[in-house]
Amino acid sequence: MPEVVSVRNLVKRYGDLLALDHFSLSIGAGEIFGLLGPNGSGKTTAINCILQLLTFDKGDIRLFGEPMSATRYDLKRRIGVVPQQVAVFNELTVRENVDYFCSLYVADKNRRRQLVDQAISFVSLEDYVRFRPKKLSGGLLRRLNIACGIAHQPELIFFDEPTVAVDPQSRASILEGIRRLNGQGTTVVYTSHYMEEVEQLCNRVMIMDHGRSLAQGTVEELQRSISTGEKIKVEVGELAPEALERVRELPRVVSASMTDGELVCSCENGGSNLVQVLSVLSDCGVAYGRIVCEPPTLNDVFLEITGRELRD
Amino acid sequence: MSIFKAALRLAARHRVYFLIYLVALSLCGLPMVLSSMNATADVSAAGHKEYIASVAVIDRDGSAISRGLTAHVSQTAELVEVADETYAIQDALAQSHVDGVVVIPQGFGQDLMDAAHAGSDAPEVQVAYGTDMQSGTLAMSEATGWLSLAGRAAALDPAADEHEVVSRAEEASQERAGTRVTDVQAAQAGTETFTGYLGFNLYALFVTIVVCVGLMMSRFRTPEMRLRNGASPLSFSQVNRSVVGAGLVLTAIAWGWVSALALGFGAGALEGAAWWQVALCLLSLFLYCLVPLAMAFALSQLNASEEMLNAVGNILGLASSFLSGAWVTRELMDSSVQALARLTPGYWCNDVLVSAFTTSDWGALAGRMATDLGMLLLFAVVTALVGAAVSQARVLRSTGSARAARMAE
Repeated sequence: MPEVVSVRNLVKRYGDLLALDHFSLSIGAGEIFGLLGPNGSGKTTAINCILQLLTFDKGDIRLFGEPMSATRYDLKRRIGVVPQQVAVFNELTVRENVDYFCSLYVADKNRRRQLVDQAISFVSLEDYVRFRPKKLSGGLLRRLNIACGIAHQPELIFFDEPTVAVDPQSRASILEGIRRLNGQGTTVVYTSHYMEEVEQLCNRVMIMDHGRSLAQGTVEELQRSISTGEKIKVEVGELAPEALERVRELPRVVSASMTDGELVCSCENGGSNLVQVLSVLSDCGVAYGRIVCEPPTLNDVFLEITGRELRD
Repeated sequence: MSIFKAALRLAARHRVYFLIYLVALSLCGLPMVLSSMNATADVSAAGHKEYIASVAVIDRDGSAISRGLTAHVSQTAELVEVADETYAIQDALAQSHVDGVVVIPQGFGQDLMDAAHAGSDAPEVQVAYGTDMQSGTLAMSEATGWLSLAGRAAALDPAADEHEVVSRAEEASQERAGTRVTDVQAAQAGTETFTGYLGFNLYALFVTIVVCVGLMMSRFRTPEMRLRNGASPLSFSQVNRSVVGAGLVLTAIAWGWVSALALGFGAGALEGAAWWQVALCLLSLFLYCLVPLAMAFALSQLNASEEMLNAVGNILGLASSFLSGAWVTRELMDSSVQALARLTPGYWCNDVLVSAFTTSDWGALAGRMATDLGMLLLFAVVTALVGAAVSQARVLRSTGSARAARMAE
């Protein structure tokens, strides 16, 4: 798989603040690569440096195998950007906005007309082409922002937190759209602080904090890399202290507690513990209802690496 | 849609500012042009006509002096008979039957002679003015002037009787400064109307360009849009060139509108004026328009808000127009204000408008025009350079290349 984005030892300082600390990254063609980290972890700074929108103090950036610089307009032509802040003209209509941003990349008017139609159709804004952005809801506005970024059909697209402040329905629509883009061969770099999105969407994920890469790999690889294993939740109504103590004494159970009539057990990584937990409950004569067994999440990964929640 | 086209479309979506600041304000100046042209036409057609005031003389004295005064007044004013009754006098004045009434009290002639011989203050006649104070005052000044001459004649020759005094006063009153009625040159009055209208619109042009162009340009300078455009395969200078080009077109539209109105409605008034004089005025107005264009560019680099653009455009536009001398004659301004006015572009523009049609010395005119137009260009260039410096500082601060970063290592 050819390397589309390659970043080596990128360092970016804002005065005394080290925003990117020897940050390295490698993304192959056709991937959906997730950059996951809390707000202020350096995701947007990394993207802006890669796109040469920010100077940086040190490092090497290559896109499509070639060194990237502020004047590599040939490379920029192959890239799409969907910025975190919606960047559209409030005075122009939906169609005019998409057309404007497409015109930055495509000069041919006829070709552009097709691309604009496709982009508008892609984000399902056909009914709003004559609307001004101010008349659009938050979700529709985000979709317009995406249409503006993808209209020229780039080979590589950076999505910087595209679902912030978006309703669940629009979010699902946006994620589905990104999957379809990737299905058409586009390489996607997706930043978010929503671990569920990244888990659903990305082939590979990098977890960032304080401008550093903490871990990277597929979601499964990251889940396997930590000691925290599955989380078992059993609806039990009431549980005697002795029974709870017996669950805690199980060899791979790290912690067990009762929360709102639910037994919650955190287990060590490696293998299932559900049978053992249910055996203890049966032995103690505890009747149980709904059972949920969850593998470790990216939040667990982040928690184990940094000692704090992803959304702290 | 190209950047240039998008920029023009952005400006068009704020057309309300064009309508208020440019169309409405420039149309407000048209009545001034039309009334001025009508006044010019009246003067040219009818020529000068002397106004004859109507005066009533109530002679309660009946002396030679009072009769002499009555006779003199009748030479310069139309004498109207009014009964010597309070009501009749008031009615005549109120109904404008007369412009003024002179009441010569009983014994006035003798009192005048006595006062002249004694060297004391002369007695005064009673005067009353009608509703047209100006014409009444002029008529009364004739009467009091004659009495003053009579008093001096009596004082110079104490042996002279009242008849001789009247005769000498009448003789002296015939001595007048030579006056000549000169017809106003229609061409000069017309060009004043033309230049006056252009001067009137200095404010409208300034505020229109600062607000409309500034708004359009600032939309491309928001942090989000700068990053978005920066990620595109177009350089900052390419984007800036297109945006400034669109600003120049908007400026030309505003200038063209005012120029077209001035030429369209003032075409008749420009008969006799040379084409190059008109062109010079329009050129100076265009160069003046480049100053608010440069100002709009500079303000947009500072991310000025809509409110800020309106405030700056109005305040600087008013200040520049007022200090230019187009609204208030410079001669009425204090010398310090005149000195301050030189620091505004309106001053130099108005100087061209004033001198283009009035200076007859070609050499002096060429030098003066070069200075004025050069100063206008200087204002525009300096302001634009400030904007460019701000823009460059921002680009250097927010963008850069890996090469630069590696060089810094």
